Amino acid sequence: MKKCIPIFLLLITLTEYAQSQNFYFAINPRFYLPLTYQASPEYFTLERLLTSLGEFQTVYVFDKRNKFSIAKGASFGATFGFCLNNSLSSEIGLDYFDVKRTVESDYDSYVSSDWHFKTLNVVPEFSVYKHFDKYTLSVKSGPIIGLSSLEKTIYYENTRKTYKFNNNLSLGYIFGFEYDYSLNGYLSLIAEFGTQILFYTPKKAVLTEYLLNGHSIEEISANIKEIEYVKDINFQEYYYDGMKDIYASSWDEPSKRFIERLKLNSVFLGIGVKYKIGNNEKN
Amino acid sequence: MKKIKYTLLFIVFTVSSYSQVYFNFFSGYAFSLNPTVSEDVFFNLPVMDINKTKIPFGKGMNVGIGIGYMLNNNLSAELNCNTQILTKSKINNDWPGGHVDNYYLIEYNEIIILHNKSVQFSPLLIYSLEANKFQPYFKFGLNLLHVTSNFDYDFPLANTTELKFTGKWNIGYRGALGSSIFINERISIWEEFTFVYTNYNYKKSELLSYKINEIERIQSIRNRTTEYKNKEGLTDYSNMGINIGIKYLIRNN
Repeated sequence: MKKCIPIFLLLITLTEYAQSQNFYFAINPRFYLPLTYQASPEYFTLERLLTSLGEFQTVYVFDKRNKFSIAKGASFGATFGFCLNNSLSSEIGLDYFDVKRTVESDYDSYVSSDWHFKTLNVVPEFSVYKHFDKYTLSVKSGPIIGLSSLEKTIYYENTRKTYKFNNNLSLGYIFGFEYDYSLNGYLSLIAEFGTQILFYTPKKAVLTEYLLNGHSIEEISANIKEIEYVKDINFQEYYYDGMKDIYASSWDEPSKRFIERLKLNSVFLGIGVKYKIGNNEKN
Repeated sequence: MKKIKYTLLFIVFTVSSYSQVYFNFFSGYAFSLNPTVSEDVFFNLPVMDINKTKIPFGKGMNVGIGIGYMLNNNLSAELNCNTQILTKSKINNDWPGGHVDNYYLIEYNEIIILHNKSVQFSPLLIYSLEANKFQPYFKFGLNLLHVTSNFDYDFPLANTTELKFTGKWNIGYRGALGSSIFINERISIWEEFTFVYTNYNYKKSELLSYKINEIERIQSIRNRTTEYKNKEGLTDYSNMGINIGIKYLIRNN
């Protein structure tokens, strides 16, 4: 009970402070559509066995898609803002985006890949706005810092391989317009439109599933289990393993591949509700 | 040619009869937002190296004209047309030398020269904040792009290849944040931060020249054109830059 008192007092103080200032809080879900496309990043390859005249041969399946983007789907977000003066406000937004996509290869109709990308973006931004009688128009822009993760599976009939990529930061920026229609002094409806540029560059991948001709592979060397993505590879130390399409130094160390960037450039449309705390006689 | 002249004269005459029509003349510079990166691994074991080639599509100096109509004090519609000059990019790839079996591979420097010719049309909506002399604004709209790219691959002591890549009109998005200052009631100067997000899909490449030791050998090549299917020629042509311009407003007093 004693612990609750300071928290309770802090809440009262914050609410009182917020009411004496021009703070606002908005819930703003968005829908994203691709803005530009890229060729699908490879990250790893799936090999399969072919038999020819009784001999086994390893070949790679080619899952590449030339026009590729996973920046399509809905997100859920909230924004907390503070009006600095009559035309400028400072905001911090949180946006959670979770997308799953299955992509067919452009080169082999039997090959497809599953992509599961998740990101929680923190967006500190500035908003320049102008009030009219019942509505406010604003332009907003700021950087994006996202905590993101990715899972990719490549399929070929009953052979498949899944890697989970580590959580690391994705970076980008946002630029958008907002239309704010005031219902009363405190509550308004908002509509948003803008562009979001986001790049995700994984540094490490861990194998989570490996099925070869329907059989689960249990004994897997460390250089298959883990892949590290780097800018440069020391070819004195690492050799190219053509059977697995990796650069390896030994069986029990993670292998290396060159870094590849996933681009999530998108346009977004959003609607939401904004609650204004404080002096909003003008609105 | 005469038709174009008459059409332009007709447009100028027609728009002059309306108030709130303006003309734009602008120039500026744009940088590639997402250069295309290709990694070529040199594979003649034990000699092994990698060359990362960054091709900056969308880079160059903008030169353009536009026509606009002020719908009210805040809102305008505009159609701009621009091209890019000084688009030449020189890319150096240093390939290593070394012993391969009983041979010695000479190290060499590959030079790639990229030159783009583009035309862009952009229908835009402009929202201006009212101010006395100084007027901040933002723009947003579409960007229609047509590009022809020439690649010269020069391998000293070996051969020189010149390829031309072409495609159709591609649609993207264009936006800008800027401000304008009125010099008098008709003329204003503006500057803006512009960004263009667009892909360009090359449909075809054509071999223009193939020289060995500076002797033209193109006659020996039968198939000089390659067509790209399944968006194989897709590139990122997105760019951002700064434009400055002058706006002439036609007012009927």
